[in-house]
Amino acid sequence: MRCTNEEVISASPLRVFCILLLEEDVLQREVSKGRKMEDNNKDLRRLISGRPKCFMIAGSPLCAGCQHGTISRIIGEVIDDLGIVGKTIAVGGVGCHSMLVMSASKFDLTTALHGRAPALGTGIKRGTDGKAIVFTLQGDGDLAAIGMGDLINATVRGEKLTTIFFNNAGYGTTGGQMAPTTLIGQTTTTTPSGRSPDTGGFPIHVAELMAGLAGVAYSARCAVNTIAQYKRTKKAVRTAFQKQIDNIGYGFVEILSACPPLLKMRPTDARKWFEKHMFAEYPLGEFKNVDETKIQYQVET
Amino acid sequence: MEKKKKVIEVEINKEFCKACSYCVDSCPKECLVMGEELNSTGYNFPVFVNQDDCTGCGACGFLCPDIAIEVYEVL
Repeated sequence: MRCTNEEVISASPLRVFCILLLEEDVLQREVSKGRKMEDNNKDLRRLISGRPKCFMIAGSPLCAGCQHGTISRIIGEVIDDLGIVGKTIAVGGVGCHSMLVMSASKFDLTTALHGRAPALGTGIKRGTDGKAIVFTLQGDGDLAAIGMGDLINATVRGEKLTTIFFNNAGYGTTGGQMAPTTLIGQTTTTTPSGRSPDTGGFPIHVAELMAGLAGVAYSARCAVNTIAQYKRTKKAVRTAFQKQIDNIGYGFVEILSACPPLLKMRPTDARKWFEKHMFAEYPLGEFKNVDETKIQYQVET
Repeated sequence: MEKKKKVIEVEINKEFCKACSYCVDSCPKECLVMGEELNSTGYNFPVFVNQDDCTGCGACGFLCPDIAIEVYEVL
């Protein structure tokens, strides 16, 4: 059906309907034009590595050499690959780790109180009848210090969520204080002579801890220093999302990410420091990967 | 039969770069070097110098934390 301008003005009862039709027509033309342009570009060259489709063209607010940007990009690539942009909701914790996703992503997201991302994620997941794919972005101060109870209880409740844990061995946003994941002997602003086990305690291994819980379907620790580690991390993040999509259980991935301002080093030196010290304390690998959550004992009635 | 050589284009968005030089470190063929020129925020950014040796592995683009590098294969 076609409408001229005169018809729209004269036939007032049909006015809204005609305008809607006109707009739809224009919209479709624009969409087809855009698609044609995309097809033309596709013929000329193929993207090997670059910006994921679900990220807008925007600069990163992170420090120079911060690997949180690389991890955020991995999440974007996985969401593109799985084709879940329209039904994904991200829940960011408080800290540097969610900054790039917050400023550049095209999917829905919200911010939780400090450490409460799994609790808010539970609400979203249950409120949408489990249709939404919910994942939380959490740092080591957010998850391992203040939000440990929320994370453990989310797995105890049997929630089907995905958590991406950014481990940079300290509080980056607030100026480099000691976090639960800080290494013994590491200098921070609150441990000027190095973390000592007598006063500062021991570093926490969250990936191994999560592997011991019954509600967890996948738990792994990865890094993004080399291209091989990048590909392994991408596979792990993809599996953690897949466990939620298949409704099996909680997916958890811990990713070690260098923080040059915390260590007061140049980015390349900070990356080497991480390879030398962090990989010795936190071994990389998969700790749990099951296709169904196991029931230890059941009372027969 | 002679194998057709891949033509790779590396696009560097100089305004997004923060001079961490992870791309220069990660390139196995040393195709990228840090340049002398500065961008508007005062960082020097890498320059793609060696197009003949580039194999198109995409490591520089994957490991860039600021998503400033895009690697394309010309078909």
